[in-house]
Amino acid sequence: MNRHLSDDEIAAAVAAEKLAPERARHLEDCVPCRREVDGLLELIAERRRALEAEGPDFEKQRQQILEGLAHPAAPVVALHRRHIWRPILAAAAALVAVVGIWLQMTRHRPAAVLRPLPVEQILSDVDATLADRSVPGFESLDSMIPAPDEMASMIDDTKTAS
Amino acid sequence: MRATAMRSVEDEPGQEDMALWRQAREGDPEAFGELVRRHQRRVWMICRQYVGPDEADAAAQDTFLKAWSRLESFDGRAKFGTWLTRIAINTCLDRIRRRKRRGTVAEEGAGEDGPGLLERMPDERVDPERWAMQRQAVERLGACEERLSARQREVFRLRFYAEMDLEEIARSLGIHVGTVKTQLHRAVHRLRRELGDVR
Repeated sequence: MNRHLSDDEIAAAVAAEKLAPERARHLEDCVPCRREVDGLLELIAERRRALEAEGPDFEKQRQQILEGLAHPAAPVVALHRRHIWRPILAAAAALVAVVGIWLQMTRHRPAAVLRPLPVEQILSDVDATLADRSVPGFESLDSMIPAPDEMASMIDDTKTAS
Repeated sequence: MRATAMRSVEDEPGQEDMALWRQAREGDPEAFGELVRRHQRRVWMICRQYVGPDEADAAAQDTFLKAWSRLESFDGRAKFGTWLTRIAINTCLDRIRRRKRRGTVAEEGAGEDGPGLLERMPDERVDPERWAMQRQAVERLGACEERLSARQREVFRLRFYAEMDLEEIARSLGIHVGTVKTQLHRAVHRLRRELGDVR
């Protein structure tokens, strides 16, 4: 198969993924495909070298680390101390917030609770409204409900029939 | 004694690390010094990717000091290098978090190239034109990396700059190796497309 590698296959080759055997063979033999893959790998390697050139004096760094082994406590202890205080401070802050909210709520609640509802007044208003035949909308309802004497004769008829 | 241990396992770098780790765990700083020597470049490169060139040295030193104080917690299931990488990444993330808390969040790309990076590239004055083109390409690659997603960039840099294998990256980041492959493939594909004819 002489078809050149696709973009996907070249990306796969650069990322060191396994190509199908015949595609891998093609890559070995095909100069343009090889150039594509090697070109990108060389560029990446070049950037890595540039990054590495920024590195510190590694022998000096090693010596500093070994010296640090003799006094390891300083940074670690500082870290622990901060970690111990953090939850305590968080709990204290939460407690203050809860107490604050509770105080706010208790300060406003009595006014709302202590004022009694005028239940009797409301019920008598409702009765008066229901008794008022002039209220629009009740007429149709009245025409649907039979009068009490009509209702009694309807009940008698039902009993006689049964 | 250490030299003997190293000679007998010299074909297996992971085994050498294990032998040194056992000695270091017994309190032998020299063995630990050897572990530092073997891994410090890679650890520095990892730190550089996360916290930038200015803080990388301090972060790398922190990493080794933490590793020394936690040698007991290494159980040998992963490679020593992978364990160390995990400590390095966590150390860097801690530093970034602390930086944010202090309100000294570095500007976008603080972990990236300082202005002097390209100046430090090996000198190749024999062919100035080629050298200039290469500098431009390397600079462009750095800029294109910045446009990758955070995960793609992380995986790409661990693979190519810290020279970690896919399995190691997966273990260090706590993700599936399939995810590493996918992210790496996408990163390379995108970089290749964006670099265009610069390569």
